[in-house]
Amino acid sequence: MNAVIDFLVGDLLVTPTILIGLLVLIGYLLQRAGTVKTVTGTIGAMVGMQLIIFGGSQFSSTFRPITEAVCAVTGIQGYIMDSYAMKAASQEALGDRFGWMGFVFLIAFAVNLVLVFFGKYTKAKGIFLTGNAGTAHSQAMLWLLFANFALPSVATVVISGVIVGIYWAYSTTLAAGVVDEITEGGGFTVGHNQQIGIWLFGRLAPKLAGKKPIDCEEMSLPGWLAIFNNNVTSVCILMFLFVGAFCIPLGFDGITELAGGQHWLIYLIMVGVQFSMYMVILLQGVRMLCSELTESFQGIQQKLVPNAIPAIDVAALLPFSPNAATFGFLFCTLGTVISMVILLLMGSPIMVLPGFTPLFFSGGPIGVVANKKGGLRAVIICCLLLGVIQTFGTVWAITQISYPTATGWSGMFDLATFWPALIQVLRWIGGIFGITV
Amino acid sequence: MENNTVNILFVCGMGMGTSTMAELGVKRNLGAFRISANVQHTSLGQMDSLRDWADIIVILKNLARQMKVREGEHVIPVVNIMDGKGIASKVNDIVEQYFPQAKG
Repeated sequence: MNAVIDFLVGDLLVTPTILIGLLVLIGYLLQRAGTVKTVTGTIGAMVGMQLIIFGGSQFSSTFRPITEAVCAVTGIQGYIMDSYAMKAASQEALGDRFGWMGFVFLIAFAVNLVLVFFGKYTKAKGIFLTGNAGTAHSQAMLWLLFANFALPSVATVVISGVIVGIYWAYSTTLAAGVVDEITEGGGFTVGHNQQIGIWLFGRLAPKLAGKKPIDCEEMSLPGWLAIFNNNVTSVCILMFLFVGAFCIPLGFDGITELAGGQHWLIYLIMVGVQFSMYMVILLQGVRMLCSELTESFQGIQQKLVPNAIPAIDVAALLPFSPNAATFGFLFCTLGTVISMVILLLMGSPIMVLPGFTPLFFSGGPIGVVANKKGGLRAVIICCLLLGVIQTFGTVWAITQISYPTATGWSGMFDLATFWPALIQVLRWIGGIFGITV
Repeated sequence: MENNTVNILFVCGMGMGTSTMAELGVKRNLGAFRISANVQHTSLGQMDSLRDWADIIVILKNLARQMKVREGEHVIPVVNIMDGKGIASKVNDIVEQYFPQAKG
């Protein structure tokens, strides 16, 4: 008997890929999916999980020598702000416990369903269906609670799930009104990483409209800007530029030394290409792990709470105002760069380098919201402000993760505002009971 | 096109959330048109690797603007990805005209 328990606790629960494979297997068995589907789906999910772990660790091992070299010269610790950096950092920090995020995810979904099921009393309407963001939330919250509170593991898993579920139910409900207006009754809300931001800027934008609002869609943008729509290209260019700028204190000789003798320019170009490659690996992994998840979760939602509002990936907003999405991306980037300069001038010991995700998937949709509610002027002001909030908020969040060698943290609006605020409040409460680390 | 089945590719920014939702919505509605289809989803950056496979490409409107449509390729730009019925009926128009074999 002891051998069985040892195997369960010592081997199975601490091998994330096996644990997730098991959860997926149980899911298929419950659905009576048939032998072929059950076997292929389970192994597919496990390979996907392994791709995510591999991509994440490569992401970190590419960036770590750069931050170490720059830190040695300047004393400034660099972090990437991107959802994928947060994935990489939290799965690395969790280590053997990474697979537990599967339980957090399931608890969160159950809590979300229950809150919406009793929507008459709880006022919650949105069901979070974005598997890729959902897994990221689960592992990030799990790590944040481990890092900040001395609680038993099971309690940490359950509390993480409950918090994430409550966040899903209410943040998506909060954004529902604005999204409905923007999409002219599109029949969905946003369940991603910036839905609180969508609500906030949806309120703010009309006040910034000015006398004669200009609709971004009536303007013509230069065609070359379309290259930034391409994720593979965009990640490569942005990482080349921002990592290149971050390496300036090293000087050409310092970068060449860091590169082990390779020419500095070739090295920096390769850093951009590699980041893009690791993202492709991560994306492939997430796709193999999460696509089926989204399908079965939507199935459960339609069965149990057919009148709920499906909360889906934020990119669904972008086609409603393509030009505004591009403007949003550009001004969010500008706001971020301005904030980075301020951080530098303030002598901050932390510097953040923006990735593609917070610029494109926060900047873009907030741009769309601001344009529909206030035109070009609102887009410019809202997205500049968004860049500033996301940058300083991410610095705040990084001070809470208790993991100095992390690759980075999310950088998305909600995870740079509501999440660190919540952790701060929980720390105060935890302090009363003496469980705050 | 193989075995009288039409291949439909869904494209969004990262090839995860939005394209998955579009794919699910359309898949659910293709039955009513008696269309037999294989579906996949991907990101704009990775689209080229699946372009030869695809008969019909369903792509978010904001990503479609700079896209050069190749000969024999059918592209449906989409504004509301949750409109599974509407997208499926556009797929149906293309199938009826160019891939009638895929109708059961």
